[in-house]
Amino acid sequence: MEKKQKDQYYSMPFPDLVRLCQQDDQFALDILIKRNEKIVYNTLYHLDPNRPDLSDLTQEVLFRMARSIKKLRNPDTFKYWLNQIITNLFYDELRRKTRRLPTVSIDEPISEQDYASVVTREIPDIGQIPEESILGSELDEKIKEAIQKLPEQFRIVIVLRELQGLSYDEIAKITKTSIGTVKSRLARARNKLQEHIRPYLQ
Amino acid sequence: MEDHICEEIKALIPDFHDGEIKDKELYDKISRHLKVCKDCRAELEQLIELSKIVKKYFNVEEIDNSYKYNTEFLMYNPDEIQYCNNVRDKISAYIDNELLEQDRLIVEKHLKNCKICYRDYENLKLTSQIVQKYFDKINFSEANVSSRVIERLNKYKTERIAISIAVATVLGVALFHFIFISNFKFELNDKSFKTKTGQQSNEQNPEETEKILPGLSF
Repeated sequence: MEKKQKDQYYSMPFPDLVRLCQQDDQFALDILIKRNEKIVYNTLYHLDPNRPDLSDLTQEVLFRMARSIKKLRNPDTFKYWLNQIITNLFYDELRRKTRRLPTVSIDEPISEQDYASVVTREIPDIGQIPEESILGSELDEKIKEAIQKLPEQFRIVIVLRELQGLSYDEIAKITKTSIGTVKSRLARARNKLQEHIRPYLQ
Repeated sequence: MEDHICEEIKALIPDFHDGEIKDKELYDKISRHLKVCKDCRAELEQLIELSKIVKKYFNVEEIDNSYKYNTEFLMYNPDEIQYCNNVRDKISAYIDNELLEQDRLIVEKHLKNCKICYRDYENLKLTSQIVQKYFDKINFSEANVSSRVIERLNKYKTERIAISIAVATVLGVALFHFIFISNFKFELNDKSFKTKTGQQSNEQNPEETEKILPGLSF
């Protein structure tokens, strides 16, 4: 029964799943989070690929989503609403902070446990993101590079359109611009991407 | 800027005329420019005329297969040439089905008639599909995110309940004190009022009241 319900929840359209979450269905909430974690991570990754704490941010977005799911009046707008949470987090929190490397205090006393095991203090490696998938193909590498090279306002419309599948109207509201601006930014972003991958289009 | 493009294109016109532009992208770029630029088109037409004269002089047969260039753009009417520019800006939105009906029809009609714009459309559509596939390949393999989020949510709810109870308690206590003190004051006010008006003069001496409640008479 549970497996059947699980399958059903996995294939259910998001608005229906959201309605169940709003009725305090914990199982539905669990599935809603699972179905969105990859896309949230993916969006954040392409908005700011150099951040070392993308997993934490993904969790933060999903927490905010779960916390205020009952406040979503129209479940049909779930995708748009979720992207508002993502971009709000991106703009409000990520960009306000000065991008500094995390510091490690050398004066902080080493605990007894540290003495017992390893005496030397290791500086955490922030360069690698364990969950980052290394894309194999050359073309994927090219696209990744091309997306990262895009100016931010172009990158965000590409991510919201091609990854999230939002309408121009929704993208305009999220980015606080007009539909015309979205149209032209998207066209220019696509042209720029096309320039990078032109040899693969033949 | 335009002059700069014209210079670049004009330098390539002889090669274009002789079918020596092998690069598709460059070929399209020249074709597009020729559609919209009268000067450059005139340059090519001049070259064609010159070529005809030279061939005639050498008794070579008129226009043979050695001419590889596409003369489509020479036959375009000005309206259609204008469309190329307008349509190219709309192809991206056309792919997304985000055009108004009237614009959609214009683009559709033009794409049927213009091979170059149709090729642009196909390439842009392919780019969009490739990018979408790329996004789909990114993995997120962090385990137990869902259970961690739910755990945090439950903790958050518990904290909220605790805060609500604490706030309610504080408010309750404050309200109780307020009511109690107000009643007490009211009673005192009442007594002093009665004493001052002297309606019940024998109940208590005003001086006595002062003694008992210094500073509370109004």
